[in-house]
Amino acid sequence: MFDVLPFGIGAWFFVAIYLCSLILIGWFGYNARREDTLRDFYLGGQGFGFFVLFLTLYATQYSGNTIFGVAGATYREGFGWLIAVHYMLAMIVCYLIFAPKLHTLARARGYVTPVDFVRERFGSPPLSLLASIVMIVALNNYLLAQLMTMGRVLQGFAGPYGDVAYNYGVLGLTLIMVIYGTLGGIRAIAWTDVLQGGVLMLGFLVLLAMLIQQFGPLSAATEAIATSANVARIAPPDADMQRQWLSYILIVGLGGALYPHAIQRIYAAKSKRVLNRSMAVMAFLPFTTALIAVVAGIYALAYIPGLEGAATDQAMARVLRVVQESSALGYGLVVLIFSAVLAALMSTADSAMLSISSMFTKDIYSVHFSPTAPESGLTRIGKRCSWAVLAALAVLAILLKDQTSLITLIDRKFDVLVQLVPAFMIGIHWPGLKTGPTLTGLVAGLIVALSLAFGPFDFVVGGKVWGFHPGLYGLAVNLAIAVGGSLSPRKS
Amino acid sequence: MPAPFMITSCRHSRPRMAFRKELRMKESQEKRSRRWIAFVYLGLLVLVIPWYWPGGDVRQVLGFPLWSLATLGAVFATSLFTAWVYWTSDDTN
Repeated sequence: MFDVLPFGIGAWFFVAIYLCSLILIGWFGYNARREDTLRDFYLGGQGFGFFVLFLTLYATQYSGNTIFGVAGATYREGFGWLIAVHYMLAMIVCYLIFAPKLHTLARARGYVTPVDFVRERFGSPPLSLLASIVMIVALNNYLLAQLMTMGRVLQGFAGPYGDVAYNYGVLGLTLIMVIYGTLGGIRAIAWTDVLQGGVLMLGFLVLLAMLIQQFGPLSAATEAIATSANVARIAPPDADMQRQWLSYILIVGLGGALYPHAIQRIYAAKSKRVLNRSMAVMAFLPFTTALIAVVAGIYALAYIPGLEGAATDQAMARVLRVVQESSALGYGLVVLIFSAVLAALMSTADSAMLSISSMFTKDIYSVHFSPTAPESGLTRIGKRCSWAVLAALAVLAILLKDQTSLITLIDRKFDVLVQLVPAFMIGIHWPGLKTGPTLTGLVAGLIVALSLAFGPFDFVVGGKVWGFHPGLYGLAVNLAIAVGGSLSPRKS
Repeated sequence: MPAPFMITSCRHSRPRMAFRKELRMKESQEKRSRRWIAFVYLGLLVLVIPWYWPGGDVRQVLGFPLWSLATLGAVFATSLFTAWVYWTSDDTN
């Protein structure tokens, strides 16, 4: 994917220093621990203040996909992919539904994992177990995709030795991540997120300045597209695309707000005031990240024509290659951008890793296998779980190196995550939501969503039915059962 | 540990019940007073999807097609409104 971007020894040195600093931060996090408990390891004890919480939310929400995926999609769809700005904001809006209240409950009741809330609210072991499985499966898929993208980024750094670099890249970055993650837990990960979020924010701003300096104003790029065969890509979206916009806003907004690692950051806020202030600032970040990625895709569409199919994902790399070759300053800036990409990937992956380990330890191992285990023992199990999960996913990422279609097939995380909307977003406000209908709705929603996504149906086009994601059809069924069943006069 | 959502009123004394009733009334008043927020979001959702813009219009300003400025304007209004809601909701749920 990125074999168009060879780098020299100076770039490698810069990246090595950056990676070593992450391990050093992990060591500081290890020394800063106050007690050997799950809450301290996974939520940072008393919680984070505004600066750390804001940057860890930012670094976690924006992954490498925001930079490369959005630019590639814009190359294919044109300005129609402005939807990336909308759905990144939709997540922040959907947090309003439940995050402030969940934070208050979590602080009062000592929640560590998202499922702690479900367990206490519904008191149903099957519902809690299913919610854990849904979240763990979705996060494993997400983590695998991040590891594979890490390998591809390193592939780009290595030039002609791309294939070898992919393998070493996945193994090396995974090892660094698991070291600092298991050393200092959430504290280390949030502190590395401060560095990674800072690099990411700077990277996006540099990218915008670099694009304008290299290619000229955006108006010239849009004009070039308007006079080419791609003129349709600057026209307003048609009816089908408008339905897709609504679908993306709903599924990414609702599903993204239920990312377990994001919910744990809600728990980790020092106070509701800190959480609200962080979210208020986050509401503007789609304009400094997703919108810049869309603009980069427009520049690529205007000045680097001819990319088709999967090659469109190289749009950003091709743009960077042009900048890199223009001057020594351009070369340095491109190295910074790639560091920002690594930062985005690692900050998302390490958070997912920690969240999987916490849910396995607290929601599955502690509840079903060893209810009397001490907190220090559970923390140890959690660390071993992080090593085991990352080892398995790193091997899988190497085995699936050339099988990207498989990743596409299993990339249904939002379709399954969104099925937890009734349990979290309705359950937290409506005491009348009953356990039985919620569990039945969740099962039915998952069956509908996965059947539509993977079944041999002619009416499913591009993974969507009439422009809407399968997960939303599942959610409609899920909601009807959960709410209808709870309103029914029959006892549950 | 009882679930925090279940009203197990028979276990509580009269003053405690009165306190909880007062809390519930206060919460429902707060909910009612902020219900309009959901309607504002619905209105903004209608504006962010450019269904109202004529198809095939490729006029542009500063490199952005006019229709995209309309939708970005609506998204920015959503950002402002969301930030305001978070900023002013420290004392309410």
